[in-house]
Amino acid sequence: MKKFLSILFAVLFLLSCVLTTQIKTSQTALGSSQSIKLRIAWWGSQTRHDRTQKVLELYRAKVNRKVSFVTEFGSWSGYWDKLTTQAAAKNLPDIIQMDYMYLAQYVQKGLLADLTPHTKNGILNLKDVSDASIKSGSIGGKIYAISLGTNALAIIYDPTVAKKAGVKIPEDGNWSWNDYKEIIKKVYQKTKIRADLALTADPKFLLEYYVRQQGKSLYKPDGTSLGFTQEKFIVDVFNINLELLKGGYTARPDEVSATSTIEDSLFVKGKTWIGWTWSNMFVATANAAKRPLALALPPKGGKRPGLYLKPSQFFSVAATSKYKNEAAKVINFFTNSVEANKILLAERGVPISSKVREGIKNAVEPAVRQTFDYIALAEKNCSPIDPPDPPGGTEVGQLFKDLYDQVLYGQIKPEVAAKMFIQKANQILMRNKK
Amino acid sequence: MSKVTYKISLQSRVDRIINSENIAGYVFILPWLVGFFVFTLIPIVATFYLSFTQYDLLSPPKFVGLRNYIQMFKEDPLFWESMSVTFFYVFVTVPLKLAFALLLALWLSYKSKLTPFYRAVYYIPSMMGGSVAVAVLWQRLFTSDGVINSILKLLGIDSNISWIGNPKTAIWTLILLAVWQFGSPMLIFLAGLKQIPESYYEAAIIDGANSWQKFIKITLPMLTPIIFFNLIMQMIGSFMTFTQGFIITNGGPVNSTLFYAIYLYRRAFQFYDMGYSCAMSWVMLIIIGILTALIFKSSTFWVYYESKEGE
Repeated sequence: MKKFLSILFAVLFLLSCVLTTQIKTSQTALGSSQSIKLRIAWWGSQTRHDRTQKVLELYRAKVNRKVSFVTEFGSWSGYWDKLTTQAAAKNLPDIIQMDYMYLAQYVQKGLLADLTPHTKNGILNLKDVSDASIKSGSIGGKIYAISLGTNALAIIYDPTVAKKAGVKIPEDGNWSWNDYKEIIKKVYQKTKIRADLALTADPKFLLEYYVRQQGKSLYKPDGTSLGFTQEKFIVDVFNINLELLKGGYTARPDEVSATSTIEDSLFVKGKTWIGWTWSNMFVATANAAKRPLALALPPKGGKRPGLYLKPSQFFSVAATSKYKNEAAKVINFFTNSVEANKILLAERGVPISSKVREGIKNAVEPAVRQTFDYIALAEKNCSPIDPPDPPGGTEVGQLFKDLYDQVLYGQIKPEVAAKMFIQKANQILMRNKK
Repeated sequence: MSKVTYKISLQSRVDRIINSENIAGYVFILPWLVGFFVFTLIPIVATFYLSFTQYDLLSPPKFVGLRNYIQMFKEDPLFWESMSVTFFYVFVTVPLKLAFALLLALWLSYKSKLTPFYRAVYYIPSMMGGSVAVAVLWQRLFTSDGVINSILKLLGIDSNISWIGNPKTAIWTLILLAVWQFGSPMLIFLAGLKQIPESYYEAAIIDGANSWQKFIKITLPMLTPIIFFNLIMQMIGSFMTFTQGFIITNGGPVNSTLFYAIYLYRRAFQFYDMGYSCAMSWVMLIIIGILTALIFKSSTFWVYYESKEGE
């Protein structure tokens, strides 16, 4: 009898387990018949999370009550790790914030939906959007991603410190790499405030900028090797930073590597006064710093402008999404609603719709207007963007970061690191060749 | 007549099945069995197959034979670097942690009113385990303007270095974090200490042994089975360390904390190289297997079991 009872209990236990899951699934099934649950994912700072959530609430209130959103957001690195896993599990969110770097790869694998039909039937209105913006999210003549804003590499600095030290930053970019170094040195000598280490999180962009100035590109168009063979370019980039670091004019790498968020950065805390950034990060940085900041074009030099206008990030729709139409409507709201963009305030970059830009011009805070002006300035001082990163690009970026760190920490000589980078990067790109 | 016997035998068979202890047992462990097969055994087998493929997670795996293993041993300096970081970490952390746990267990085994309180306090860090919150806290403690440097300043040492940002010290902050979480081996040691019969010590006192002799001649030998158990569990756990290094230093600075598990994760989810990272996980499995076997083999020389006495 005892044994019988124990079996009975075990069976009951299992049954209750099954039942609870059953009840849960039937609840969701019931829910979905009345309303639509859209999953939407993005990366970014706290400012972006807050504003995006508000826009989604607005969408529910103004456009469609039946849609409810499941939001997934985080930081840049964690975001892509998670997205890859979801892609492998065929469980991508309906709306995905996409980056230029990954776009080609995701399209190639058939993970993103073609949005061209939605632009034709009017759900997704791109009338006020420039061709260049539309093209940046198109591959093979099909639109796979809608740019959320325009973006460019920039110098960010604290004008109060510059003024105190009596230096003037040429915001129109009429300064050489030498001027750049001299200004940093001068300000340190007068104020004891140091500069940031340039782009330590992803120093590949610094190399890319420098290489583009020399008329080359980081990768060959077919992606099977680097787009240049000169070790000198790499050595130059290392040396510019090494010289400043050795003289004590910039923050040390060990200080920088211990910070991971904008809110935590030395720049925001006022410990450094000048650094490199992406223009769309400016608003978040200025908000966190709570003091007036300014933008300037990076130093010139070489054969052509190294700067390019980049779609800051996109929204794409997953190929597996059940609600492609609904997703397209949401993206349309982000692109064309002046009201929504009054909440977003160009935090993702300068809006691509000319109407929206006009509409929010007066509503935006000074920091945002500064990015508008900066992008207008950059537009006149840039060269066309290179094709998206080839497969293996992430690994090459990590390789450069590893070597850059080793140089900054004084573990290897720039010349050795340059030689190693070219050899290994080409190896990686070859291995990833399909 | 035959119908009746049939009925009886059927019923008795059903009875036998229902009343069989084995069946009850299996039903009870069914949830665990399902978990084991679905979440452990099948993935292990799948990993083994995937380790011979090129698999970027987004398109179907492609069979490439031993290429991943060859690349790992011949062309990948980061593989060797992560291996040496991990070995260093394990061989420093495990002995330190066990020594520390044993020391505190000894101290806490003395009877006092406050002992239960202390036991709880010392166990708390382990309950938080490898959590992200602790990792973030650790990051804050050891930055250049962190608490540790402030304390040093109070003591008159003006230190400006960022402990987690310096390639020489970063690994030590992680080792410290691991040693700090000594609670679970400590509890097991405490239980072990309670098992040692009081009469042994009484006899030793009569023979005039001092406390050091008591510890060396009685406590330590009697504890060897516990040390053996803790050693194996801690070693396996340390080899698989991930969270701390991932959150606090992300393998940096200059790969000085690039644990094997972090590099494996990076290859899988950042470089889209799942086949390679599956191969890496098999290499780790084999290494842990060999080390565990070695410890087991060596145990006949140093682990003392009371039950063997009568043999």
